[in-house]
Amino acid sequence: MRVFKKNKKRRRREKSRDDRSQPNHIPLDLTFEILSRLPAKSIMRNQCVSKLWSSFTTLPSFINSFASRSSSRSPRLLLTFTLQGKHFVFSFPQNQNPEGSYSPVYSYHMKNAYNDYMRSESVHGLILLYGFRIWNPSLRRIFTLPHPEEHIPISLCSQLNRLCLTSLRRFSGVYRRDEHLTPRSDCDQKPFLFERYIHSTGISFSSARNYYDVLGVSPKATRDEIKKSFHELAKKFHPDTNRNNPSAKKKFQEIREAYETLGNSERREEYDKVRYRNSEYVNNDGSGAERFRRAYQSNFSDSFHKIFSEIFEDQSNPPSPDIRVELTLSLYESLKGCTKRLEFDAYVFCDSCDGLGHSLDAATRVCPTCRGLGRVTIPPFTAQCQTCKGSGHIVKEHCMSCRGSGVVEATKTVEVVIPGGMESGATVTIEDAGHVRSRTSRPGKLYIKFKVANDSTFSRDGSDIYVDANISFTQAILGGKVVVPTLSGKTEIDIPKGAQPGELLILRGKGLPKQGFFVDHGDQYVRLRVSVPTELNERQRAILEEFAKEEINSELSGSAEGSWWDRMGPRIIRDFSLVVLLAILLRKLMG
Amino acid sequence: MSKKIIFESSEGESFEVDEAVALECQTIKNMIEDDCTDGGIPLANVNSATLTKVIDYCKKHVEAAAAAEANAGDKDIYGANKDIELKTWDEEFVKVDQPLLFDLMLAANFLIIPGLLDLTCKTMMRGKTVLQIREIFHIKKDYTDAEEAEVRKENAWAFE
Repeated sequence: MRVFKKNKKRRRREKSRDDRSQPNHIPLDLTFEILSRLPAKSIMRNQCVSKLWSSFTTLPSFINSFASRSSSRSPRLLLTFTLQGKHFVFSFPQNQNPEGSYSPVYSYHMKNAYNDYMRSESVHGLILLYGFRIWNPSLRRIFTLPHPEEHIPISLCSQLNRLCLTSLRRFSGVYRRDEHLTPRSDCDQKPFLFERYIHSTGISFSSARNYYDVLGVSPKATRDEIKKSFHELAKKFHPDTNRNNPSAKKKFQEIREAYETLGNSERREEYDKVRYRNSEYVNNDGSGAERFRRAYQSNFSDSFHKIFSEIFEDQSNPPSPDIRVELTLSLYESLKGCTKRLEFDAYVFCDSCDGLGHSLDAATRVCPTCRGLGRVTIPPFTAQCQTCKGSGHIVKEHCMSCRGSGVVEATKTVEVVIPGGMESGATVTIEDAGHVRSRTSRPGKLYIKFKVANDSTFSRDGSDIYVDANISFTQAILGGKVVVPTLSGKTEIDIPKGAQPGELLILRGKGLPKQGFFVDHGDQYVRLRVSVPTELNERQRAILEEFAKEEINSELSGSAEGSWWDRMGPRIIRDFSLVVLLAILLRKLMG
Repeated sequence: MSKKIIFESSEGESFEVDEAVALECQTIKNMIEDDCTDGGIPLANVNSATLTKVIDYCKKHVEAAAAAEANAGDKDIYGANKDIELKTWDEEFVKVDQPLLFDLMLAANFLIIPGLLDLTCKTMMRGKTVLQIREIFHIKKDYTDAEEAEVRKENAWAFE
């Protein structure tokens, strides 16, 4: 014993001498020590120091060490969920059982759970907000986990938790498995999560994802057969020929995905291998218990697969941005409705590659993250591979015109049918007409905001409209007819005799549509403008002078003749009638 | 009363400490248990200045632990950590220049003093930018600029 220890001592001394001889170099074990003592956030930050450091932080042994160190820190909420009225809270790594599974920190009835439920804590970079919401700071997005509706057996909770843990951690980016970042130490270098699990269960390859079925070929089909089938199907389901059919788009994706795998002999072989293994697994009908376990497992997987697939899908397919445009309509257009062509700048699918980002037959290489499977599986969750977006391979040559993004900025023209009765400020939403981001995500919306321009003929006051009508002074005096514009076309109206300048004539119900009692339209007012001629010819002047004379004469004679009677007449009549009335009364009283 | 342990620094200077203090170091503890400490323990990679600091640290923590035990009566592992006074002492303790801090860290790592290692590591990394860390640890940047940008982007939230 003593000798051994001395050896150990010597060994240490030798090592330390090595350290001293290289004062510039920090011993690896110390790096390890330092990093594992830092908070999660610092670790993430220090991934940028060097590849070596980055690879350290992704080592399983490092994560375990980090986890055990973290146990002296405050408990961090990992997962909470409700089951049969009880709310379970799991924390990492507070309650680690010797077997390595995790048990709930505590569980309680939902009634009293509200306050705790609102607590938010961080898990390795992910911030868990009130229960089922996860905030990923890198993506600045919140993901909401749906409540698990199916009953999950309590015995599975601990397993579940561990799985969630790994998923979440992977999700938060701690597990990076890029080839060049694999640790160069003597530790387990395998991307252990993936490797170990992908071959042990068949969840990731559910029946729905059988590529042979998708392409409608037999598993023994030759390459030419597959290619032929693909071209037929691709033509049939191409998004361009099925513009109104969103499911075709999805189908097209599937077909393409299937062909990308089966069309490549190397990847097909790989796929066949995994598929074979899975079918073996399914067909290997063991004892009742075995069957039960499997049924159980798939149930379990279904509910949570849903949850997690949603997170991952969401992450890879964020909705594309919306576009807002303003459209000016004339009063007439806004009233009657119209069809307008609208031009605006938008991201559209690249023409040369049809939004794929690469040509259909572009050279590809197998995705290093998922090894060509397109999915990363941590049972029971299967998530789409982030690196290759589920296609299983990375394209070597990108489309030149869009640089692989699949979208280019262009002027988009949209024909909009605008219904009548639009008002200023009204907005119309057109689904799927906004920016596009990729073939897999839904296009954004197009919002059109209307603005009704001021009209040169009509002026508005609510639902009433005003229009000016020019009439001559003779028309004003003698009365007549005038043609005025209305919203429904021109109409002729009568001018009353002796109309005054500025007088308003009302056309009931000829205004704009309105919500009202008994009336559904406003009124149109015609304002009369009397135009006085500035230049007259001889005859007109003579007539008007005559008229003026006549006017003076009639005024004079009127005042001379009727002056007495005009002033006194009504009074005499009144007095006289009063006398008669009194006389009648007196006679009655006397009689 | 208690047994004395003799440390020998890289300069050959001898330091005599109580066994209780020496037991703070896991490495020394192993040696004491194996009874191979006679005639002093040569610590070839710890210089005198560092060793003085390390011994200071161990002494203080042993005293603090003893005091806490005497006061509270119950044995709480984290009792010492909860002591505010000790914490401020720790803070003062690590207010040293960078090379000494580095030496302290190496010494703590070598002697296996978890508390000190924790303390120095955290102090070392606190508020340091990636560039500074590279400088301190003499790490050569093995990322290309593009690679680094990508890693940074991925971990953008950690830089806020």
